[in-house]
Amino acid sequence: MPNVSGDDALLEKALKDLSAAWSRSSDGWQDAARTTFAELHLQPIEIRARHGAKAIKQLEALLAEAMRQCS
Amino acid sequence: MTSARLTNPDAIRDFRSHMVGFKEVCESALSGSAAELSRVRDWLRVDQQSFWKKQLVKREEVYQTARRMWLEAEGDTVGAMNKRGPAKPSSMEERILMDRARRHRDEAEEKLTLVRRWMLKIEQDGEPLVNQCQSHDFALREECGKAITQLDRLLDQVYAYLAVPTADLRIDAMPATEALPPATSAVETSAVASSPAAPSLTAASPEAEAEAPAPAPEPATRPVAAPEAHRA
Repeated sequence: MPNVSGDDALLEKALKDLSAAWSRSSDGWQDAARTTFAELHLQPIEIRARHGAKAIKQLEALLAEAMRQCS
Repeated sequence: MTSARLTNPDAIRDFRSHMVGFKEVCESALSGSAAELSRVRDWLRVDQQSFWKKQLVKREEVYQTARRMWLEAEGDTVGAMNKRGPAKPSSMEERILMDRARRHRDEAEEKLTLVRRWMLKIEQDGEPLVNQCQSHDFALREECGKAITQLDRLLDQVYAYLAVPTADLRIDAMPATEALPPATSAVETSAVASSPAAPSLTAASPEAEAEAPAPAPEPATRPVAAPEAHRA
């Protein structure tokens, strides 16, 4: 029986790590360019990654249920 | 021009390396969805469907045999009663065996139906989710790529001001503390933070650069002794 990968959890963790790294970077970098970067790049990436993680989670739930019922 | 408040260029460089790592995780996680769906689909079709098809045939045979035996036992019981001879008291045992065989057969039939239903459901519900994952994958590759490019621009601008060769400082696989000599970092950081002519990071956009290409001033100090040491 195939395993469910848990990629959604990996992606969520990567997102959390990225967010923490961004917060840490504020110690040495605080200016308008930082704000612009957050608005233009970071926020869309975060939204997109959350949607991606949600899609993976739904897919994995579907596949896990198929395996549970049919094994 | 907005004044830059960049007290440590490593902040951008460190975040860039995290962004590169994040992009790799996204690619790996999202691009694997199609393969994952295929694995489960193959498992259903090749393993489970074949298994339960064979089980159904086998269990049907067992059931038919048990049914024949029960019919024979029934005949013996009725015949014995009519002849008033030595009687087979009951066909109950054969009946129990037949019922059990029928339940096993029905179970295989239900499993086969279930497997087929899931094969269909995975096509109907799973494929759109895989398409979503692929769409997010492509978009994130592009968006993360743009973000990394923007961070590179900012770094280029900072290091151009500091006159440090960026090729030696932007090594993805290398931890930030190893890639930039501590002494260099300290000198340059103070140069950026204290110089009144420190470049604005907001001027990194192409429009801003086109409007006001700021000439890089001569650095007060020259860092980085041996670039080769940081390229490996």
